[in-house]
Amino acid sequence: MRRCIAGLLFFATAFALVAGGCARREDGPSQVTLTLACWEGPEGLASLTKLLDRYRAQNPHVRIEIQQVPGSQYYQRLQIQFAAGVAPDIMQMAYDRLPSFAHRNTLHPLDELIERDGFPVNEMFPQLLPALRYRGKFYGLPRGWTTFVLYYNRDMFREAGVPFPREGWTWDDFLTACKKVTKDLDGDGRPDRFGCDAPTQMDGIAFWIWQNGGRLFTPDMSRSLIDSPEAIEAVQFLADCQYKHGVFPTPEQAQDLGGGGEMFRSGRQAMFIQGRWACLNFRGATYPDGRLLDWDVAPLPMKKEKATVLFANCYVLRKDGPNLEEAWKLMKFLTGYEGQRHQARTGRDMPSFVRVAESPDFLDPAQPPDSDRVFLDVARYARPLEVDASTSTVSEMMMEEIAQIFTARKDVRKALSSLARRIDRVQQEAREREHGGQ
Amino acid sequence: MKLRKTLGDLFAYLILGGLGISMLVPFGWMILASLRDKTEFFRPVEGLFPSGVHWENYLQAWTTVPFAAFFRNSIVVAVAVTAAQLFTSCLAAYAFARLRFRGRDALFIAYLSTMMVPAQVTMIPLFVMMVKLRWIDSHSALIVPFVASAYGCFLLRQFFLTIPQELEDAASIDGAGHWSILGRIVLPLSKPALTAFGLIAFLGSWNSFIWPLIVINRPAMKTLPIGLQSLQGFYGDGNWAVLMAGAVMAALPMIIAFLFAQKHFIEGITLTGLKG
Amino acid sequence: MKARRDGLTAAAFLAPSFVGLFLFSVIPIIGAFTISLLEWDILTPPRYVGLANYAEMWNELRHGETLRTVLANTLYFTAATVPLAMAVSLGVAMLLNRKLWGLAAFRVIYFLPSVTSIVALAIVWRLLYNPEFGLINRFLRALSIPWVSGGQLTLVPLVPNPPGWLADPNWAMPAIILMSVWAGLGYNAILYLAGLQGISSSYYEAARIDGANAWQTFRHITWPLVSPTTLFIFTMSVISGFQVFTQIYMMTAGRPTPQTMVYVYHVYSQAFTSFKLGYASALAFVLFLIILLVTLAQLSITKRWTHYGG
Repeated sequence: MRRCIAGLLFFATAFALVAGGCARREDGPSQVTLTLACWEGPEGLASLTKLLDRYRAQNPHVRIEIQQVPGSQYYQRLQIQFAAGVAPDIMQMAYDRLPSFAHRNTLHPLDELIERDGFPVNEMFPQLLPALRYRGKFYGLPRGWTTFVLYYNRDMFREAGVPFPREGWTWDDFLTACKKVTKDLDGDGRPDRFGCDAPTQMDGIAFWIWQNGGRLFTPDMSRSLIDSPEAIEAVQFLADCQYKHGVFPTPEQAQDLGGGGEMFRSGRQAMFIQGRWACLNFRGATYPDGRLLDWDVAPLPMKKEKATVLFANCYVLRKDGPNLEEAWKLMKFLTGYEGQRHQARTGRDMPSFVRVAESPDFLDPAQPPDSDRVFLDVARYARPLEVDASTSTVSEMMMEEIAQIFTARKDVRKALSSLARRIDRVQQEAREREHGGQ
Repeated sequence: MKLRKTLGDLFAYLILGGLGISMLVPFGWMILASLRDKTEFFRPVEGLFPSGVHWENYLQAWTTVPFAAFFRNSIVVAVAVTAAQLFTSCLAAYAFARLRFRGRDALFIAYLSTMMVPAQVTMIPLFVMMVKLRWIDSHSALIVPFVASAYGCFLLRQFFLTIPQELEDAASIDGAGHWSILGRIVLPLSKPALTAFGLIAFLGSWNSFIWPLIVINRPAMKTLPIGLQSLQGFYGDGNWAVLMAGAVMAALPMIIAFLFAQKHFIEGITLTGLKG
Repeated sequence: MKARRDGLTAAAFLAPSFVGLFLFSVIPIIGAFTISLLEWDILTPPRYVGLANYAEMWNELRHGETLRTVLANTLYFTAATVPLAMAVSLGVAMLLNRKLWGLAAFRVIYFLPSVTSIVALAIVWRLLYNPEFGLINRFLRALSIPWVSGGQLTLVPLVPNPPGWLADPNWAMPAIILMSVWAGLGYNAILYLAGLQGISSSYYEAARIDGANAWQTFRHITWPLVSPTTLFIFTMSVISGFQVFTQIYMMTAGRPTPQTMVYVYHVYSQAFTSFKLGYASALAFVLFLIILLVTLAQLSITKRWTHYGG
């Protein structure tokens, strides 16, 4: 009896071992299965599935397996999959990660395919193209892109008697508006409504620095310029907004209230700087008492120059993948005119093709914001971040130092100097590795 | 004298009661919060359920992330690991306790010494192993590395040593081999130790966090702890109500199991916690 | 008794556990050291760099900020949780030991956090710690005593400005410490209770006859006789203090502020976020050495103080 049980245990173990390693389904004779990795949440996934259904209708021999991985683990998983040799055929990838993966020979260069099939890259917004290239070669095509604009709450501006933000708005105008809007509504001595919020990420800081005439890096990316006087001035302005003027919420005030986006959405913050995707979040937003939020978008304020950052959400192909041609076909569909029109209508991205951007698919007047055009207008002076293979490390360092400035009141000059040194060291090590090792 | 004892008892009740309340409040709050509407966290509210009881939070938590899969994965993995560890440890413990062979004690020390190395040291090379074996995102990665347990071998050996050998000697005189001695005599007498260790092994696997975090990224393959963490990733600070619902669902099985089997839990902890 | 050579049987019985431990404990230990001598991101071929990772650690320690902060935080966490947890759980155990009615119920209540997933606990404590709406601060703000000021009876709040807890750099770690002590209380208390129950009541009788008061009884009887349990809990708590990860990961919710970054989190992030496997392995090895040294030191120091009386 005991022996039977022991034997059963043994087989249970053995079975578990085998079951774990379980296989994928076998493809039929002419069937192709493509794996597509993305970080979409539930709505994004639903929208993507609709689009893919249309593709499958036109290509019945193709099966598409979606691997959805949460954003926080997305690139780690990709790296592991590449290391294990089981990377997906086609993947979503933010443009700032492109160099890091392209550098390690994991992505398929697209120039030949683009030329062979005549994919109309020259009908895209030109400022987008550098973001898709690494060392001169195309590695990604955009699912969509966006410029960063200023979301603002029209109710609050009207109430405070401040004119709406518009093109040519300056930092001083911005600060004045913040001050007028920041209010203590319930008399407990602490403000309940704020002007805007402090940046937390690299692209949230970059355009402030650009607007002040500064740069993040020297043009050849050999040295970081984040400790330049212009950069320090820009970040000091933001730190003052938080600590001196009190118009940005401190972490205690914003934490667990969901951050800037949630604060804006629930009517606790008058302005918020973000890309196109925030529109989805804010459409239908209400105050706690149920009134609809009246919001719109405007260009970012300027100092010495007008500048904003762009962000491109791309698809990339696995290098020399087993289903390369089919994956390329799918990519052309997703990033081509049909896919772009679909994306534009979801309100999630700006389409990469100028024609689609100028069409009602994107400029739908029925839904807020009224000023959709702003996204396109600011595209004139929109720049991508300078990125290279160490961008993810650099970006993390930047997040850490920014957190120090805006949560621990670290001195701006000290924080940025130490950040510049750290960034330079990381990039130098990366360069040494390139020349010395592989 | 009696007064002193009564006063002392009163004091004890006061402290224990007060502290006890602090033990229960977070749980109560977890449940309460899970049944509220998500906007009721960012402003002061009146009453327990200002806008009614929102059972749908549970549905939302269940469907936003694959909760059913989390449960399934956790159960499969924990059962497999427990079964495997019991199996391998029983055999090894019997060998160390009853069999004689050259180098027995040295080998036992070797087994024990593997316990000294913290998991953080082995997790990186094990991770590499999983990648190369392509076991990432599979049950194998969660089960196979844990089929043996030096701790189990140690614990069970200690227990086996306390079993008087007369029964076994009698059986062997009757011609029983080691396998049946183990099965028919030793194991039945070892129920407390087996239960205790089985519980420890099960709990250890069930609550395992950092290892599944490392080797499982695909939502459908996640276990409960990291699945719950992914729910936090989804809702973070935006929807506390659904997050709490998820936390309640994740915590409930073990709490219920504990309430039913308190004796075993506590026995298990104390048996394995104390030496000599 | 027959003296038998059971070599073959032993081999069969030991095979499963041996294979398991060898493949998944011994080999990885060797592997970890090997990897610590490499620079590897698991994707591109590894590069042998000798002891460079350890040198980098040393450098970081002397010049950089991250490793120093990380070590300091880990020490802070351990140094705060261990004595606190031990003191409170011993106190609770002593109270539980008084043969009170409802002992079983108390045991369940106190043990409840220990059987609950710490992930779930971290989530609810995050909500409790919310500076604006969390129960803790709401409670603290409501704590007021009546006071006479200016001829009027008013309620004066005792804590008008409660801390920001997880949002405040100075209070984040204390918040996590408090939560960790709370979560482990039941487990340690049960262990202590078992230890206390092993003390023969004849000792207490003798003390009472000699007229000892509560403190003297504790100091000369309870404390020495419960010292094996104390040693065990102390050793285990220190080791797990150095290895703390889950609460930090869950409660600083992926935005690891330097104030709460602990050693194992650092290892994890270096290995699995930055994919610097070599450096992370070196960090892990050093952790191993630290734990080993600390445990040996503890054992030798406390050996003198441990009484194994029955």
